[in-house]
Amino acid sequence: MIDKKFSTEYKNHIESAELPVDYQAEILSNLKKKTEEPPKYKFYKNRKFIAPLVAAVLVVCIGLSVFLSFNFLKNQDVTLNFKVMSATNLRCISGAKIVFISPSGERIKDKNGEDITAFTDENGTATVTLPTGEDYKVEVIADGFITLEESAEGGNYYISPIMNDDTYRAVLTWDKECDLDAHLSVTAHDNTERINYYKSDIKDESGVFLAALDVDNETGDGPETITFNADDNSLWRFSVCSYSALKENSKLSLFEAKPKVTLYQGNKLVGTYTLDKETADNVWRVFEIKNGEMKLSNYTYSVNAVTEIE
Amino acid sequence: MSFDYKRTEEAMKLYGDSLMRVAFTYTQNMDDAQDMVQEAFLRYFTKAPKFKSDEHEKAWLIRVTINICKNYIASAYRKNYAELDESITVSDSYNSDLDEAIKSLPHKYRIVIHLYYYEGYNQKEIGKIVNLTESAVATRLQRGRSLLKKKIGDDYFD
Repeated sequence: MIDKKFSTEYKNHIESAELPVDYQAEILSNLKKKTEEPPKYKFYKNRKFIAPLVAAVLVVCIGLSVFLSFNFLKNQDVTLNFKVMSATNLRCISGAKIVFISPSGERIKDKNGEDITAFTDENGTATVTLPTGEDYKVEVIADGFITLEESAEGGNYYISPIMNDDTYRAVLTWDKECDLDAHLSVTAHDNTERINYYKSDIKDESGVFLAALDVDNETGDGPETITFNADDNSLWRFSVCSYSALKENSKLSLFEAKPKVTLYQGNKLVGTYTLDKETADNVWRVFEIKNGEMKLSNYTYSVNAVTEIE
Repeated sequence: MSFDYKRTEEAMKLYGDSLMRVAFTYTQNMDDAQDMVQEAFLRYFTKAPKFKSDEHEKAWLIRVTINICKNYIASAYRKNYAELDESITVSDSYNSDLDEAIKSLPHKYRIVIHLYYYEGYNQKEIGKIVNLTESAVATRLQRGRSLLKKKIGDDYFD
């Protein structure tokens, strides 16, 4: 047996995890409830009813198909599902208002001329039917959160709680299942020190938080959220690194993962940035902040190790 | 769709503990691991195909459990520091250094370590379960071992 000592110790470690017998019974009981048979109706036994019943069902089905096809050809609406969560702790936001805006900036209206609006339920979800044909945007509005404006494609929407004026929050999301990392580097104004940060909170010498990694995501499509106070004259740089491309030789490049960074400051949305130039590089420098001024960088480069990210 | 209650009950007896251990590598929490396993057996109950062998059946269940756990990881809030799991029974053979070392590993290394050292799968079999190439599995095993060595020392490994 290879690595015998580790194998033995690991076995001792993991074998404490067992499925309790009473929990097995509970699972089986829950499964049974799912398969309780509906009551049998006596008239099924009388075969005289079967033929007219089948004929009636067929007529209804055909009629419904024709009706639905007609409606489909007429207006081809699309139904979208939305889920709204906090960008700092992924808690579902109930009661968030979602409004829809056309490319010309007007609110989208339904057949009765009313603004199409949805409110998320206790699970943070909402389903909306929209007329197709245009690229709509949504505004996601919730008490205590900064209003987010995004494309109306449905899916997950991460909104930021309102912060102090000198606090920033960068929320990274991406499209494909892979491991992207948000990186924040802080370089002292006299260039004596640089902290490259992506895995845990960082504090200054007196123990005050400089930045917090609120959400980390190694699979799926995000988000990763970093909150930081760039209120000094250090140089703050925010980058996105594809750990999948860097370490696992993934065929999916950083560009193909379609990273998107939404930056907030205080109580406002500063901007949303995407990597729109095709590249084989594995690091995307998004922006930098110095002396309270944010400057977009938007260039890419490659590294062999995360410690090389500047 | 037919629901084979008895078959599920037998599968639970055979594989319940294995799935708990797989789920635990992700959740590091017994309560959440139990929820993951319940979901896995629900999917087995409603969607399981006909299996060529017991090994095929077990691998299917492990793969389903891993997918459920990945969704759990992606959606749950995760803290940046490890918490002591109070629901694990601490036995006389409890090794706190190893426990901390395992907890500090990223999930993607933990699961291949578990499938290799505990379930005894080879790298090719692990690749089929976690949907990776054999070489990617080898890299993750090597990386996982290297991180563990830093925490618990070289003498655990040959």
